[in-house]
Amino acid sequence: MLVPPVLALLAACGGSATHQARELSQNATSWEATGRLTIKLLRRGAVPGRYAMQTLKVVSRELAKTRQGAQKLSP
Amino acid sequence: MNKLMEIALGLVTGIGGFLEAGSLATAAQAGGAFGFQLVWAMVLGTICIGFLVEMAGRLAAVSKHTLPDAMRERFGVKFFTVVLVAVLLVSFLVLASEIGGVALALQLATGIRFQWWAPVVALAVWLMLWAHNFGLIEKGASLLGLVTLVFVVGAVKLHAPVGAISAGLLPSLPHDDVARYWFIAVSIIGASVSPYLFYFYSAGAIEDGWDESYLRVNRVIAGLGMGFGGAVAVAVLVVAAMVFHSRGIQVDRYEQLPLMLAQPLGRWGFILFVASLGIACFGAALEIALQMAYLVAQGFGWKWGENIRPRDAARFSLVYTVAILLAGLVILMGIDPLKLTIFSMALTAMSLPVTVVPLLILMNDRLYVGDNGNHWIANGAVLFVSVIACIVAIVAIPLEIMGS
Repeated sequence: MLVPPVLALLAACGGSATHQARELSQNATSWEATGRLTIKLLRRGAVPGRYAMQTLKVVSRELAKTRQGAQKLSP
Repeated sequence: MNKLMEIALGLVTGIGGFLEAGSLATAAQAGGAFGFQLVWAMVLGTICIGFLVEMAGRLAAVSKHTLPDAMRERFGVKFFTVVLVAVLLVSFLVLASEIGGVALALQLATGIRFQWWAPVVALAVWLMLWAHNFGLIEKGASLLGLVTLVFVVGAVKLHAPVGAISAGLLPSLPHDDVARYWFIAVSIIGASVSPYLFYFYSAGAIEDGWDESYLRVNRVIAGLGMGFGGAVAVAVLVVAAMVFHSRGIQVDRYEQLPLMLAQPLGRWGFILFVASLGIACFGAALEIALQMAYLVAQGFGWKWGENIRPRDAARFSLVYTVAILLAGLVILMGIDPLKLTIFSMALTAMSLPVTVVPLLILMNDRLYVGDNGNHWIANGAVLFVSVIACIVAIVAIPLEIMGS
């Protein structure tokens, strides 16, 4: 009963460059989408401006981190 | 009539008190990353905590022993110390997470960084415990906690697909991110089966003077209260899946979370999210700090009780004072509350056998529960979930640390 989750976890151990690249790409997609949703909701008046500004700052910081990660990965 | 009132209040406590930093964060992360695929973990955790809460209440009602008291008596001081350290450690981390959750709600409301709110929140938690009695703390926090029902409203407004959610009741592996999938799964179970919930419930049953006539009340409260509470947590996952997963958003920061209610409910969604986060975490912080004090005081045989004036139970009051102070300091240091919350939940899952197995042994000991011992289904279900969650957590935590 325990074998499938534990084996699956151990198989995921291999931290290859492809895996890291996929993770970086997921991060970029996620933060870009967060930024887009924040702006959309700000325009609709669904979130306060102060919150939107703070969130967009976080988005830009996280995207910069992702870019740095991608630069380290590229040969 | 009195017992009907007890059941009603118990249900309110179950619904309003279920959601806290851990269940909110893990449900949102699960929904964002894997859609409805982790609904099963939430249901499994809810069933498990339902069983455990019922057992803790039954032990208190039949034996008139609180859980720590019975453990020390049955297993001796040495073993009790191991359980004490494990429960105190995970409870402390969860307490810090809850203080962080309230501080973040205040950051979302005011724009002032969460670290600066940590001392204010810690002081407010401490003042509530110092100045008020058990009933007000338990029922007041839970009544206000009903605001978390807004997640159910959000799920309805988004026209949550019942078929797809039901499909999530059966475990299925994702195509990639398997390590993260299992890490979030055990974090969900850890959040649902937090030991503070059943230790606190056991102390509450003694504070409220339960006897064997309360066994049915206990069963209804544990079953329905935890069931409805679990349904609110599933609603969080559903809303997160529909708003975040469909857009490829993974939840890595608390700042992302209000978007999930602002999308379906507009400005009120944002406001009610902030209120839900603040109230749920504040209520949980009160209960955890109190449970830590109960655990130490009951374990060492000190005078204890939230209905006693603090100066009459000085050592009991000192425990929650120190716990709140240190937990507030952790958040003041600027540790990311979301990461702290998720790791606390995974560690909670890892510690489950230590915190749960002694309760199972007590619940099968006729000296304590007489003819009201456990059914094999309850024993099997709780043991199964605890052991699996522990083993998967042991493998998943290092992988998640390496991954991040």
